[in-house]
Amino acid sequence: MNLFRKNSFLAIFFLGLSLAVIASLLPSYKLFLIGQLSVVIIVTVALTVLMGGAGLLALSSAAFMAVGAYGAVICISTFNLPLLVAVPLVVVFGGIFGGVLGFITLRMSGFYLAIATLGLLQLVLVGLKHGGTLTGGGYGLVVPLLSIPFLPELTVERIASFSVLLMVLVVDGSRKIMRSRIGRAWLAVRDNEPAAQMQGINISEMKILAFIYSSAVISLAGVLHGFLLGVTNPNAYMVNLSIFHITLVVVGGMTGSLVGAVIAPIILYFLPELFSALGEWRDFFYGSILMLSLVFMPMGISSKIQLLKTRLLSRKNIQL
Amino acid sequence: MNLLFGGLALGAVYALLAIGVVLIFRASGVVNFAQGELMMVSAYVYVFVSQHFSTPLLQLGVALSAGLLGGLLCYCVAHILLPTGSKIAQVIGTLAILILLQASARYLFTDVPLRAEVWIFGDRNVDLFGNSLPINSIMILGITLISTVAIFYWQGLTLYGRAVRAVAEDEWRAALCGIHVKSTLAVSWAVGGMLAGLAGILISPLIGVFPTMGDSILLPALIGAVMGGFSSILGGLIGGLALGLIQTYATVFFGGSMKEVITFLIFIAVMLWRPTGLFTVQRSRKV
Repeated sequence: MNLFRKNSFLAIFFLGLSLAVIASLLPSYKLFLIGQLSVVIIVTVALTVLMGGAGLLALSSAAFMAVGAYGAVICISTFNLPLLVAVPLVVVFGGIFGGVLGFITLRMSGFYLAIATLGLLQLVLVGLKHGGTLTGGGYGLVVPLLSIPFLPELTVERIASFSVLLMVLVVDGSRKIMRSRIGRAWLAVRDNEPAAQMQGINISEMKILAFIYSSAVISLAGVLHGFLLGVTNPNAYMVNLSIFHITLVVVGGMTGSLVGAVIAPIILYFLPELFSALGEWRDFFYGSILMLSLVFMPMGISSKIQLLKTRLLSRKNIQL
Repeated sequence: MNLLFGGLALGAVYALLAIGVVLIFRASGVVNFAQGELMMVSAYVYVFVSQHFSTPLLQLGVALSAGLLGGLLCYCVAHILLPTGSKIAQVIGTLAILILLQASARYLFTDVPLRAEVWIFGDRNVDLFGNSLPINSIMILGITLISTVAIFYWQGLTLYGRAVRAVAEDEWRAALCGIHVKSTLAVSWAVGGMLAGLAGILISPLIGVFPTMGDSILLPALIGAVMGGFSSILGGLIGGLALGLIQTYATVFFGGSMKEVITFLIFIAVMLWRPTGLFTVQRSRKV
């Protein structure tokens, strides 16, 4: 069974599919939460690739989520495109958008990107609020009835299980990219730009590539986010959302390892939501977690896990 | 004429924040994203002090001290709590301060804007060149110019300012020369915070005081600093003033929603044309 050897695409696909099927057996609200969790994991993974992998601080994840959510709804209900055309179109558009922004800002040192992405976020929000009938102004848009071939009615439950599948694919894809030539080039650029340049790595190209990848993936997450909620509202995509994503990335670890990027949303997003424990203390919670994590765990959860793993392994050796 | 001075007043507030950001960045290499929130905190402090005390000097002093304490708080977070080696962690630390201060303000005062009285002069107008102008905007402009000159003098001509610049250039060698690096850095952050406090007093009568007031001011201020190349105080002043004028006229001629678009386009244009700032000599990049 050559098709099913470890790490092959089909094996991962079936893993995702079985997770999605298991998830779809859950009661409706839990399934919805799982779908949201998948969206958050997708964003965190994409942002970890950008911040941890390539070392670029971007505050625009909320903006690209908005681009995805609004773009998909506008494509479907205003331009009457079928779902399977609209979503890839929006993802490609998000990627190009990110690439252009990266191209403009990356010639300078890193923090210009943070400012530019903050500006982009404000710009997108203003555009959404004053977009007239196209974006629905301050009220936002309602997601139309979704359908794809063979599945005439795409319910929220189906989208949620589908997000689980996509999440598995994105995590695996990002892991593979981080291990490939490109991923290693990103790490090299992050650690030491002049040294990376000496190795023949085109720095700007690599940074723009990282930005394109993460923007496209975050747009995809935005599409799913909008579909899951059933409405898109400009107030859902404020700078708080970006800082929330950054919190998850920092807690997960900015080392380019993706284990933390999957675990951090589960601990910090899924568990509090499951017990609906946060309420109005949400911003306090995430702000404090961000601060504490920066102080006490600057390498994130993934490094702690690594430490635990080596300790356990060494203990096993002693027993032998 | 009214429009011109209104724009200049808005720009002056941007410039105050921009100069604060530039000061902090020059000293420590960290962009302080919490600058807008320091302004918000001082604005709240100013409102509550002015409800109980009518002495202008006391109002000013308390609000400035709030800004100063905020600046020191940011310094503590960015330089004492966090490892100084990683700039990205320090910048994210200021983001954490931003979200915490904003959440606290929302928790304490809700989202409803508070009204603030104009400092000293109230809503009076003054005749200038045959026009009746609000005295407030002239005062804002004047205060901003005075503080810029003061900071220029302090940074450029006194021994202390030279110490700050030496630390900015090379912390280790500055320490060898007998400069106390930490206190120098702390003073830069504190002065940056005070400028934000000043901006808070001056802007609060114009736009009201609410938890997210920093969001809309911070971005133009940062872009003003970018126009100045993030290294020159004069550049920050001119960039901020220009941006205030441009935004005001853009609102009048193209409508309110075009303000942000034009601001962003200017930022993009500056990035493409003179990424090192409009007022600096082109230098080769440091390795």
